[in-house]
Amino acid sequence: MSDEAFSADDIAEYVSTNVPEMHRELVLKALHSSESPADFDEIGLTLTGERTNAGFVFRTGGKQTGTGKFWQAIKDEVYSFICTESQEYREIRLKTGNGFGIVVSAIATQLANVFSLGVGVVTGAVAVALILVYKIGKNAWCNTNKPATV
Amino acid sequence: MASGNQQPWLRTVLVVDCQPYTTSTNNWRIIMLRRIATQHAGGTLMVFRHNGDDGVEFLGSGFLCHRKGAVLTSAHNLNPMDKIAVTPGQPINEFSRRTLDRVHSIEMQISQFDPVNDVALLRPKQADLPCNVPSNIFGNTEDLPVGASVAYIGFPYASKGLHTTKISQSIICGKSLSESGTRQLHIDANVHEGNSGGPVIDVSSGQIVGIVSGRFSPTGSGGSIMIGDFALGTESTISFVSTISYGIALMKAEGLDV
Repeated sequence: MSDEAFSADDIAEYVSTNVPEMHRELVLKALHSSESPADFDEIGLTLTGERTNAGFVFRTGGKQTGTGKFWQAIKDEVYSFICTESQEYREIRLKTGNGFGIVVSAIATQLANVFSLGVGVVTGAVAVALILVYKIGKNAWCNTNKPATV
Repeated sequence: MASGNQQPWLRTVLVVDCQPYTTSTNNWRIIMLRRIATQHAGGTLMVFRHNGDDGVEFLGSGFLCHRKGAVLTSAHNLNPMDKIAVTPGQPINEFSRRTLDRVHSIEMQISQFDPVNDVALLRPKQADLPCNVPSNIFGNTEDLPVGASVAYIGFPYASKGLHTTKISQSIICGKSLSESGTRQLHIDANVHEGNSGGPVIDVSSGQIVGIVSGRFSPTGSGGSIMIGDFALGTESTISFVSTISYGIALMKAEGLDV
């Protein structure tokens, strides 16, 4: 298990400089005013486009598939880094005192490679998932987010 | 619908020529709509996803926004887990096949994604795809008055096999902020399934001012009675357009000159 310990200042500085501007407000909301895991799921699903507040708008695009699966894939990747000894993050884990930004970047880069996305597409959502780890603690987060296959 | 490899001829099809123009004739609107169709249809693309087994599924419309082959579309057309590709429409002024059996796909990746304001930026997956897209393609949405004539281009009902490019005309009939604060233009039109992501063009300047996002649904966006894939009670002649400023913000975030 990794031993990352994040600070609020660390997180705020990273978000304000590295999270894409259009995602920043929601990520800061997660940091400053969200408490329950349900709040974080709501923000995460909004950032991945899997939950929209469309109101009285009927979207005239294609049929969506896999709603919620991408946010779950992000949480699974965070689990792999934070809660396991998985090989893909072995080198980063060996370095002590990894800051929030290093962990977000490592996970976001891995997800971007797997799904062939720009890193900025996932940075905000990964940050939200990790902020919950910071808020409730690693052990609690790992216990509640254990993937069914692990 | 199946996909094929990218063909060299695509490079000559992907052309947008958007010089601002004026005219003083009485039939200026008709002339300009014809000109907009000719100038913008080539840069309006079908967006689809690969479903495995070499099959593809239509998702919506999109349009070239930069000479490196970047494409803007609606975020709600996309799921980040999908394998996304685009293909240009058939020549708009020719009698072309209504349904395509195969498409020549250009593999894309989602580079920037703004689901709150419903815009996304796609880039070619392998390498930049040089296109003729002028730098003055975008107009100023903020100053565009209610009552202005606009045209929108896209692929309505392409998911049902209607694969021809369509241009329609409308006016800006209002402006509002969405529940999440997005600046939206209203147009008095019934945009159809498949129009999302297509460009909305100011008729007087020929410049793109917005991206089709959806239409007003009197019954809301939640569940309604379905007949096949058709949701009853979602029809209206008020449709919504995200202002192009959100698309420009994504291009700047991507480091593209605008």
